[in-house]
Amino acid sequence: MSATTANPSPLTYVLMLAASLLGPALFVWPLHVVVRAGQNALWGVLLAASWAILAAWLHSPRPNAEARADGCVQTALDSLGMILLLGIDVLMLVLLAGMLKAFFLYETPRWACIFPLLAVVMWWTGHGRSAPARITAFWLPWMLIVSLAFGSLALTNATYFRAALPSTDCRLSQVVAAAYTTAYLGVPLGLTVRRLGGTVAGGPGSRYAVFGVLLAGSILLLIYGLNLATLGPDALVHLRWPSVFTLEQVTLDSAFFISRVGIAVIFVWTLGVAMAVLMHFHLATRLWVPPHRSQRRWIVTGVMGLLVAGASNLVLSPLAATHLILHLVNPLAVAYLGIDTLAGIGHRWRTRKQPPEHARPPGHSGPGRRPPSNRPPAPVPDPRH
Amino acid sequence: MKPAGRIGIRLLALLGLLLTLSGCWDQRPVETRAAVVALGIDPGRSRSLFRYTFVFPNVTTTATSLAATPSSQEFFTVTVESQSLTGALSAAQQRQSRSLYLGQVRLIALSTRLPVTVWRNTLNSAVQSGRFVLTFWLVGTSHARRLVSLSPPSEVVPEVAVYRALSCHCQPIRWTQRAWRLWVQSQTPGITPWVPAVSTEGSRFLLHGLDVIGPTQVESWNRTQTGGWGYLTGRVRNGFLTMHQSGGQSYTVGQIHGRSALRIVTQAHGVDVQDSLRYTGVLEGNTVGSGWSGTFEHQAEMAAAHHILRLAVQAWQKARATHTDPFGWHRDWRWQDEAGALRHPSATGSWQDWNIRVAVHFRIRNEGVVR
Repeated sequence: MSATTANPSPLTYVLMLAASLLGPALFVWPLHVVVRAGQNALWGVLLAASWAILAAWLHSPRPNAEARADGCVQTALDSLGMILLLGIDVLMLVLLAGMLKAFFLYETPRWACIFPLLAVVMWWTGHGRSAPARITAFWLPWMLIVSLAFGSLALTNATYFRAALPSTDCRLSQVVAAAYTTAYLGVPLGLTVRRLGGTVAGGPGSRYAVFGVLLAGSILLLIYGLNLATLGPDALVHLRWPSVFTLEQVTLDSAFFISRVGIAVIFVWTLGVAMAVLMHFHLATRLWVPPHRSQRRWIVTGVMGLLVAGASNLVLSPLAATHLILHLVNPLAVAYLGIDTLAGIGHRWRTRKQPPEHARPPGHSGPGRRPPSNRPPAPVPDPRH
Repeated sequence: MKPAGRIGIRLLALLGLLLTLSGCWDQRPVETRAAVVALGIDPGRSRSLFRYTFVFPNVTTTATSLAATPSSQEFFTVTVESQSLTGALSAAQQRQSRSLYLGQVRLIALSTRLPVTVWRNTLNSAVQSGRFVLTFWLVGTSHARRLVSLSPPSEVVPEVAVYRALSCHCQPIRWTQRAWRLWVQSQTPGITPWVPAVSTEGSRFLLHGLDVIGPTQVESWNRTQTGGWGYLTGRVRNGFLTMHQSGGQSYTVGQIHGRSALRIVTQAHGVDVQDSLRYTGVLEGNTVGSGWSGTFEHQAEMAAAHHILRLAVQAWQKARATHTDPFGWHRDWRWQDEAGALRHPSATGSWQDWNIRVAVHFRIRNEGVVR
């Protein structure tokens, strides 16, 4: 297939990064940060967001050091992160199925929600290296538009804007605890930026990675603000799915026939999770399948899909999945992110020390150590040649 | 593999996905369901037993038979006695040939004679059961069965008149209190939950005031107090005031709407509340040739402002006397100044050490037109 070597455009890359980050957050957000910090959760969210922006910049491959990203240690670290990420995907699928069962498909067994979704994701992943990019570029804008449209409809119910802002009684321990509960959201960041950043058409740019983080972060902040302003920090913590609750109360009494938006919200969120799992599977194939052994992609995808599907049926309940995220995944995520950040700083340091001539791959005709913002408009090296 | 075989496999996969993703295996058609549209709860024969009246639309009424069906036959009721909502649902199901469906409930009316625990338990079990869609209205009334089973001639099945009245954005007071918001209030410290109070007059209903669900009993607020509460919380959307001049003449200011801006500051001696009300209205009646002038307009504005202030004072006095806070000021105080609220703890409905200053700005924005 000729499309296998096509590289994503910067905009597609931004969307792919946002999809990879958003999926695990859309519908479980922002309950646990508010449980930890109440009205002051905003500080925790902003703290986590600023870390994510720094990490996006840190992990972005340097323009001339692309070949070094595949060091042995780095691959081992990425593989560890990937396994953790697949674990997070399992829990998210369990939560998604639990949410669908609670609100919409009351009698549908969990496997019937998860298996078709995974089958579609596996089909897209196995299809080729560029398929996930095309699918994300098509679906994610729809997802964002629909989310924004429903968010603006739900604004009519948002009356407690003061409650969305931090209170005057701010404790550092609460803020740190709130930021800590978002750790699992940061796991895909480094992986995505490292594995995809180097393939962006027109050269890698850390600013695109920052844009991607900003896009995902602003969506999460919007959902946070909407929930807090509609429910307030006191009632929100008594709910299982606050975002669903908020959007469920949107009434369109005047609209002809369409009086509730619930089904579209459910559709968009299922899509969001599917996009995220697709991105993670795609990253795994980039990590574990060498480019010249493309037939192996089907095997790796199949094995991952079966493992994820099997594991998702082992988790007892959505409640157990939440518990696992908070008490097992989050400590692991913090440890992984710590090591990953240290490795990233080390890598940055080494590439900075390197004279540009050695770091430049042979045959690469671009200028030496230029910041990405000064990207030359002249012929962009096309990897297809 | 040949292209034809590939296409075949893809088609099969798509077909499989269509079948599995549609979720059709657990569908229940509407003919097999009995959709409850309203529910009334009254005291029962003993203290721990309550009477639940379920109202169903008559499913034999179709679009073609609608004109021939008398309005008394458009709905039918099922009455059961039970200790809780969950028990009542089960008892009602035992009297129904179709599966009980609660996603279309529009109205739950509770008698004000019921103890507060029943109000709270009903709301909580409605939220926790997951079977209700929480956009229905919960109202207080003296006789719930009479309210839910009245069907004014202006409404046809399956519309519930009180639901329409509360959702129509046409009432003098913006109610906005659908069940989910009531639940949010009941879970938030610092506000006493309230519901619209509805009374019945023959086959008509009347939205006449406020029922405040206090800690021990449900307090009914009269029309004046409700008006004051509406002005204080900025909920008046289409109000009117009638004022009397010294000469025996009276005039009306109508189409009043506006907003209230609240500022709460914790001081050393207590809590200072500054509620600044800004309302505008239209001077109704004939203003030509009656000697009315610019100074009169100013006098009318002053009189309206004083009137609003009197209403506000009555509302606040009622809140103080019943130890309730349907304004939500204790809540807003905590959200605005949590550090201060921790320094000077003050329970919901306790108005000790609260200094309240209300400033009313009233502006006549137009004069009525007499044709």
